[in-house]
Amino acid sequence: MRKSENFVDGLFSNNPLFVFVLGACPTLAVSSTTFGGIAIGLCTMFVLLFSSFTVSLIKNLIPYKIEITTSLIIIATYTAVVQSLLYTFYPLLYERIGIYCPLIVANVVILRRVTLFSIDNSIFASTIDALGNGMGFILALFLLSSIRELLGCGRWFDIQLIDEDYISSLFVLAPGSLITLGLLVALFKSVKKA
Amino acid sequence: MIKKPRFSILNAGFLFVVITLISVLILGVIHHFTKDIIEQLPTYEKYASFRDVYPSFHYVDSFPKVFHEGKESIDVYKTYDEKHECIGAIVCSTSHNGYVGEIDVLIGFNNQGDILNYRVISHKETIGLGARIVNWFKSKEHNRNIIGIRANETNLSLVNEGGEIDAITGATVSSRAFLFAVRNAFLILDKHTDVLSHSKTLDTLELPVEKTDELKVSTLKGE
Amino acid sequence: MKYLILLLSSAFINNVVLTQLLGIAPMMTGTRKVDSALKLSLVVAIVLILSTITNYLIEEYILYPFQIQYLQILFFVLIVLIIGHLVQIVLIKIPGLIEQFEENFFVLLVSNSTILGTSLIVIKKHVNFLESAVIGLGSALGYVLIMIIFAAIQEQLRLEPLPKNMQGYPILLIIAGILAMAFIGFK
Repeated sequence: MRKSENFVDGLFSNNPLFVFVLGACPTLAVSSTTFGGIAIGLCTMFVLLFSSFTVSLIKNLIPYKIEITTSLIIIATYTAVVQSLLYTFYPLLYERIGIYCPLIVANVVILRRVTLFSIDNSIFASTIDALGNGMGFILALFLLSSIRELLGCGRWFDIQLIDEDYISSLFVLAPGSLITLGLLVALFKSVKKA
Repeated sequence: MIKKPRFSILNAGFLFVVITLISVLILGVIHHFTKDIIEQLPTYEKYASFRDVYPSFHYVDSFPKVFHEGKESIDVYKTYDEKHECIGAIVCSTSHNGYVGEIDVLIGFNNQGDILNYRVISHKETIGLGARIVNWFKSKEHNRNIIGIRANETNLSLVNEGGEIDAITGATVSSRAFLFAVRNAFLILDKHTDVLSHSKTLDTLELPVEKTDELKVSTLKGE
Repeated sequence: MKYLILLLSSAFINNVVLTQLLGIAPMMTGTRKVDSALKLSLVVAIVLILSTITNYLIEEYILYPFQIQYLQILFFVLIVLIIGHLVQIVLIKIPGLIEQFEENFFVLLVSNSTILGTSLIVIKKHVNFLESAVIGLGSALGYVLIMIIFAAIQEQLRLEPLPKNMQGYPILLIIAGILAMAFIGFK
């Protein structure tokens, strides 16, 4: 498919979070604040971008059988890079994300895109694909975390909009994230059909 | 289409070793460049909070003195006026009994033991519940405010434990831990230092810190 | 006694999947049937316990003394890969136990955030060796429990009519959310 189509695809119709519910693990836990959600989204996109790039760069050196393992090691490296940089330059943001930053390596979005796409395609195509998927992921996270932060503690980007006393904190905790994501996926499905 | 190399243990092993070595190299390089900044991190955060917590000092200790009482300990940064007389202290106190983890609080006390302000410099409490310790105890609502009260004249515990402070609704554990840190700060400050006895001894030779507007606070990012 | 409490708490109260939200992806995709869920979760459990202990030892005796903690993620991932592979090989050799692992299985096993997450949690909490093993065991138990429950639910679900848009992931997520609410009650 053409590269621009691929980009838009990753953004909307094949949105990694809403359509495939990939990478739900580390992200559900952090999306309780919009800042955290966007932070994880950006970090994940960073890792996705560089991993896609690297893997498609050396794809001809990797024997078929160990594609997954090699990709995972590369992803782990970039995750460690992101973790170091985030901790150094935005330590308060890093504290908010906690252990879910190193867990980006377990985010299936990255592994899937890398092993399905980057391993077979040119560097340029892989980069575009990574960008599209990454942005789709960030957008999805932005939506999810905005809803959760707003309904869960009345804030948005840390600005108090509704007084905390009027809100149930269900959305900020584990169940809220699962239910919200479920509803959003269902919503997305029906929007796609239309 | 270039043919991919055939799989063999030797091939795979070689590839793994090479990739791992390159990774270690990359990570080592990054670590080398960020290591200095990382070491200074806590200091920057604390200094920026000092003004928050104690608005009107002229000088403050650059390095804290640590005082112990049993298993607890506090860091004390004494504050001074322009004549280098001690007018109070900024205390960093920790509670290990937060709902999720440790709570670190910075509190400003003057000579009389009034709480000037506080700032929670680190916590992992739940947003919307325990995380409200950041502002709850400054609120003007009845029985919540600890700012401006005299620490030795008020019982700084929760109402349902015989004290005078209202806990956060639904976050008793976090509230209790927070108050513990504040109470502890005052108790150890009172028992082990002379800050609170109105004495103005100058036997300390702590180096003064430049006033905040000269600190490079612009490099601080985050909240 | 303390260890029993630690075990129970990491299995139920701080359940890896429903409270720490770490095992969602394999839960969604790997639990179509109860016996495949059982197989998958038991293998994950074994790898989890082994890797938690190994990663703890690595952190304690290699990373910390030499101050090379920035290599933490890399080492942990490598360990999980190696242990995952070894466990697979060993289990296949045992006659009659498991005939074959699908390709997909290894991916689920290795990129499982539960395994990596438990190792990270154990390190963050500054526990000793025995406690880390207990936490690993507890998390593994909790994981197996959740997977089985969820697989049973999924089998039941197949008998129910659902609106088109709710089929598949949405209803699974919502059910997981309701389960999570039940577990919050433990706190």
